Amino acid sequence: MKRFLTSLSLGLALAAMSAPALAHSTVKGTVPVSGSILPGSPPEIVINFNQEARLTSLVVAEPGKPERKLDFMPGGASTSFMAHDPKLSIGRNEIKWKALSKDGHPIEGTIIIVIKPGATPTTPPVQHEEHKDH
Amino acid sequence: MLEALAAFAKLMLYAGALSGAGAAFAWASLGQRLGPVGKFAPHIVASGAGLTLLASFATILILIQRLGGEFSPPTISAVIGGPTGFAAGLQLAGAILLLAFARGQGWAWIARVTGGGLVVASFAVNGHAAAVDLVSGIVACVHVLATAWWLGALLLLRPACRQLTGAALDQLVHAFSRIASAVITNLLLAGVLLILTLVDFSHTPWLSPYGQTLAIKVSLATLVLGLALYNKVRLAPRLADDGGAAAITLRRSITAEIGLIAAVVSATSFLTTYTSPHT
Repeated sequence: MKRFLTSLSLGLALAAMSAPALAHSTVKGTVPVSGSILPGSPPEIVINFNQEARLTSLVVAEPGKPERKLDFMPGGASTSFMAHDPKLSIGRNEIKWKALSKDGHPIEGTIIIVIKPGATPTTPPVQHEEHKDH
Repeated sequence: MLEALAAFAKLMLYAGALSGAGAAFAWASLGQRLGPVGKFAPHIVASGAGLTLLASFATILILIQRLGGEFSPPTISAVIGGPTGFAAGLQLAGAILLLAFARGQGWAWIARVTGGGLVVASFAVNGHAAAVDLVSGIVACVHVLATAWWLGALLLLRPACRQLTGAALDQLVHAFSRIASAVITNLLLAGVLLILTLVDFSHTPWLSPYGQTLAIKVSLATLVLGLALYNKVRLAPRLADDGGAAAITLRRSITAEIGLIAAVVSATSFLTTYTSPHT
């Protein structure tokens, strides 16, 4: 009985200290927003996560060209990652990212950005980036 | 395919960690009462530690494949430099200690318990619970520690039902029951706490894949607990009076208990690979 009460006390103390929280990183938003139509390549691409993640690859697939890796920073765990001067081509650009979620799950997604010279910049009201986890 | 491999590697990791560390803990806590059955302990510890080593390496390699298969600096940094790498380091260090001292006498039990502790501690630093906060990681660690002891003790108790007779078996089973009461209480408490911490019940979790798999795991766990209670209340008291027949029945019941624990662990490896509490 004494052991049971000790266990129960320890359990309740831990319960009081534990706060329910999300256990899986997801993308909170990107800049530019996926689905954007821009007149030229943006100065940077930013991916924001809802909690810390570790970005492992950022690749752009452009029309008629082989996939190209983009350098990004920072290198370790962060809630925000940025690729400077992505030099996106005219047409539809698919920016594919892969990351390791805070809970150890691999996650990935795609940001679509269309470059159309002379177009008025438009961003969709809702995020369109495809995001999945394994 | 990679997800299936990841789930299988995780299952092997759980099996190795729970049996290797668990046998070390159970061996240390049941001590001399194991009598000649103690000779089985080094084999279980070494096998579990070996499996932990292999599965930990495999888990890392499969994770790198799932991240694109490139051994690029960002991927290596993410896998090795983060909680996953830290957990793998603890598993490797713990498994090496267990392997090195699996057969040692005297103070070697301290190295084995330390090795088992390192392996179990790896569950506090990586995974769904560890991602929430340190306290949740510690709760997950307590859950794994209790499961490990339980499984390790059952793996030793099973041959004891054949090797020991009369008072020796009766004393061992009673010693096991005394410790098991406290261990299983902690196991249950930690399990309930983890569910309350990880699952957001306001988002109809039971309809989600995570909720469904969790429900299967909880159902299987309830069956194991029912069987354990039956062994404690009905079979254990009969050992002193009805030695042979009761020992045979207890051995069969323990085999079923180990099988059910294996099913719970399988459900857990599926749960932690394919699903997440909040997707």
